[in-house]
Amino acid sequence: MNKIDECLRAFWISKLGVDRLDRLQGGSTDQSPQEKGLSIMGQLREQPQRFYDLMLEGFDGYFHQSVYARTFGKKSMAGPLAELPIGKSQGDVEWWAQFGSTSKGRTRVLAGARKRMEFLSETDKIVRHTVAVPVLAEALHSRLQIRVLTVQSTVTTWSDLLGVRIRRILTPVIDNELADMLFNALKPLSPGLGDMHDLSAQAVELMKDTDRVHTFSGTFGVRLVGRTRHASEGGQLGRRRPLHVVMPQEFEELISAERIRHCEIEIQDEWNGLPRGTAVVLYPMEGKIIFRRMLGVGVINDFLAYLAR
Amino acid sequence: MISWLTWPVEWLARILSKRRKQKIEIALQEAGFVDAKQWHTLNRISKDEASEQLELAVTNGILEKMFLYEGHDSPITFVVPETLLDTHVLLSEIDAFSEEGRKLFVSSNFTRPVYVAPRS
Amino acid sequence: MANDKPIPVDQLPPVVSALSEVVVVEARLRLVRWVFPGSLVLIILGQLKPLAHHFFAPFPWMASGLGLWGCISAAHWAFEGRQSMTKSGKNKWVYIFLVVSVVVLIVVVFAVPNLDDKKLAYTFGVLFVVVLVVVAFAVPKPTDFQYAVFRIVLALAAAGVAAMIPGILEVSISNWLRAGGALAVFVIVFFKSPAALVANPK
Repeated sequence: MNKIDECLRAFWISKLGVDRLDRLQGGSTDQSPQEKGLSIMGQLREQPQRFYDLMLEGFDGYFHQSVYARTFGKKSMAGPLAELPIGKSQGDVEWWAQFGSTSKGRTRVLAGARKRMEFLSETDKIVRHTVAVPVLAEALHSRLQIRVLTVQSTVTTWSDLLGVRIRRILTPVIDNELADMLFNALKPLSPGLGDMHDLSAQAVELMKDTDRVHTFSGTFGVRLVGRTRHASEGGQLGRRRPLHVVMPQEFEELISAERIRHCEIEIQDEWNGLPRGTAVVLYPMEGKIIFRRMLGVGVINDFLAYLAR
Repeated sequence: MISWLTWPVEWLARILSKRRKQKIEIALQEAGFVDAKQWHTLNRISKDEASEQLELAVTNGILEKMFLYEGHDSPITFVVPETLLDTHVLLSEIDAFSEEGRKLFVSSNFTRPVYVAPRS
Repeated sequence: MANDKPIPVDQLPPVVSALSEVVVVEARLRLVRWVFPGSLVLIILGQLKPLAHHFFAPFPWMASGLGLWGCISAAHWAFEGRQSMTKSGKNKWVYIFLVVSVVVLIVVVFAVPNLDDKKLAYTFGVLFVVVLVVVAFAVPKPTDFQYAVFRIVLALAAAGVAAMIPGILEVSISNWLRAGGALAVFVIVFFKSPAALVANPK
């Protein structure tokens, strides 16, 4: 593994958050998250599986991530996923590690989606590097879930990672694109990849629980001919107020809709594994859930299992 | 072909399906497309039967199959024929003029089949 | 291709009129399943001379004519929808039944004027035997009621076929029934239920 790839892996480890990194190091230090990540990578050099275990841990509770849910009807992808050749690649996806057991109808495969990124250096030269972003495919009975790590980074971060002063990032890393790569890599396993799981009903149920969930914006389909969006703007101290408080009639319209295109919510009270303050954006008709803010450990799997009912 | 010889079944079919047609007209109104899930709900048949009926209607030329892009990165809702799946489309081509020049990748993983009236 | 363009949904024409046609096509396919057998029954009724005396003189012609019209109409729409019918599970057997019945019907229509009562009974017997063979594959696990109906029809059909088979057969059941010839065959098939099958355990 070359130095840049090692730095990248340290970067992914750093996304576990400061608290977890300190626990992994056995104590708090003054280092930056990337430096902590590098130190942990140094410890893991002889244990590559440990890196994969940490990535799985990240997906389970720490990472900002996008989740894509699909339903398979009576079929299951658990068997086909279990037969993936770990250590090999399919197109631009490397299969890193497998977890779970097909006997329980649950298989998880951690992979790296290789994206060719381009950067403009301070000397106006184009710098190219292939970055393997962690993604996770999991089959749970008749559902398939794809999870993609959210890559938000600055020019400074990439300069440190690549060891070259970067002026601009020319290639954005888009979650849909990475999910697409993983879906396409899984297509040879199964004649169809199921359907996008419409989570509109679950989204409405979530939004209706105004004691524990605050909704700040939502877009819903109007019959089959259009869409309407309601969003609240800043209140006191620039903090947005929830829809059910500032526009109750419009909120009623939103929660009466059958097809919800998008909604932005924040958890107010620990709920189905998510701690207070967690911000989630749902695109229910696509079956997409984005965890935007994870404050400490959340048990995402419980929340996803609730949505998948 | 509705000739006097084949008239009985055709006549009975149109009489018996009048109520169902009215129900569909009320439910769908000006909608430009229908999917298998809606057809299954409207007609109280199984999802497999609904898919089968719609696919057979496509085979018989009564409906045309298109794919509805569900990605949130599109400012408007649009459908594409199968030949345009997994290709880039210009947003200005679908009247999203505020997005002049922006291309959108219509991935088959983020579309679902819908059925529209055949285009002449 | 000129039609290979993305289309905003608000530019799509209403799909309701096309869906109305889908509904009519489905109604036709469902009707075919009922109209054809019903028309066959009408044709058979039209051939039964005692009924003509019971109703009025033109009854046989009207019943047979209506029946034939219904059969042709149903067969036409079954042929038009043959792609649909042969793809769909349950409709596939209906389609096979229709095709077989049309062939037999054509033979019968041309042969009937030359048939006496015995040959007529034989012809319809063969027809119903063929129908029941098809039904045996289409309905592998009949309910008790269906099985009872199949038994009666099979017994009648066997009697019809036996009408043409030479020989003497006599059956007595206790002291309440004595039958000979074709009727004896009916009695044996009905009461003895050949090839006992296992109905769905309840």
